[in-house]
Amino acid sequence: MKKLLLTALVSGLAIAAYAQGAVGLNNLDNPTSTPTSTSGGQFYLDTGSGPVLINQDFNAVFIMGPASGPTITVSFIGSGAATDNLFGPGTFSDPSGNPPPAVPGVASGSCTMTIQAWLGSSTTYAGATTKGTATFQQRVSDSTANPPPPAPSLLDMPSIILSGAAPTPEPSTFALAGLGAAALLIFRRRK
Amino acid sequence: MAQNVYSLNVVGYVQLSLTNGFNMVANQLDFDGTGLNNNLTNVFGTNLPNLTKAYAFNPATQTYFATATYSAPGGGQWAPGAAGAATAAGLKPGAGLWIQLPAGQGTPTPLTVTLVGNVRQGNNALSVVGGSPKKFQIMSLVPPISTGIETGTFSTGQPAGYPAASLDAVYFWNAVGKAYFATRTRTPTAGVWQNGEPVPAIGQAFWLASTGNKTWNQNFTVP
Repeated sequence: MKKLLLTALVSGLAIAAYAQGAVGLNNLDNPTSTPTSTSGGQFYLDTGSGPVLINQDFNAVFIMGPASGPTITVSFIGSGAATDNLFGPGTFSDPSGNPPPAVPGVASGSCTMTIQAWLGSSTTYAGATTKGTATFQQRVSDSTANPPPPAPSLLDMPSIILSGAAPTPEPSTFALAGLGAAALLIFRRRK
Repeated sequence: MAQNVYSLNVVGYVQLSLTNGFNMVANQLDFDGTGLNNNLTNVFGTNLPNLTKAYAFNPATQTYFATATYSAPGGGQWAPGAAGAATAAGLKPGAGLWIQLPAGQGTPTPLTVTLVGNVRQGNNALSVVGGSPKKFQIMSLVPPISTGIETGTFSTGQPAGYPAASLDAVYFWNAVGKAYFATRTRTPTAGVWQNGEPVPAIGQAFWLASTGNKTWNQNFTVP
């Protein structure tokens, strides 16, 4: 995968980065997976003929925190460019250039993470049609360790499949088809 | 009858700027030119505050050696002695280690420590451990020069020469911000790294996470 961001938006609590575990927002350490992988996963796209590693721009939002809030949300929404598909199909790597985000309220161990990914120009997951999401426990760097270790990548993410129902025709489309059929019948009767 | 004796050694000094808490540092000068005596006492002398700690990482086991603690009242000793000896692995030019200043030291004004020694010349073949998952080591450039690790040069015709592979990653520690900078990850394209090719500063060490075992030849001769 590759997603590029137009907006790298970080919202949530303003907290000092120190003494909070961090997560590297990339799945580059997950070189192989299947669509059903429950960890070490990658991003897939299913357009109706089965999931394949996604190889186009997509949007992604990461929501992280302890099991019972608060959370921090990091969003990559919009068409991107520079790092799109930089590391190959199925991958994501934070293109913002920011340090790995610190997770509020989680000094070590794991946090609860939700990833929402979708195609298209929608600015929200809810408004998208081709999309996929997963919630899982993601390890964070141990901020209590001496010396501090680098942040782990998304080693615990399951594979996420972006899929969606085929677009539903609008009522006006049905009406147009009906009119066409009626006109055809009338034309045949006159013959 | 007296004879002229010429020394080919190039001696220099590096000033490290250390702040409170953790600092990831590299010793890029060989203490006596033998490559064998770069230990904590020789490299840092008595210039560090009491209770400073040193942590060196063992790439072979992917764990830290025992922590060494500096005792100024004890006559400038590192204790336990065995830990001090083991930590010397991180003081070899091309390697690196953590120095942790105790609370209140190096802040708000950084503590400047001067390292003195010989610039290593010729080829330095550094072993890099790697695998899948990636393996870590603390590394640095051997000569006290700041340049890109893959495409940079120490001087004309002398490349830094890191044999990078796709997905190799470098992590720089921000001692002031107390957090890591954005990870620099090598793309499949030669010389191209996400977030920029790593260019360590003089005296700066970094984590290198490698996808495979390799040898990093750093060949430098003072022009």
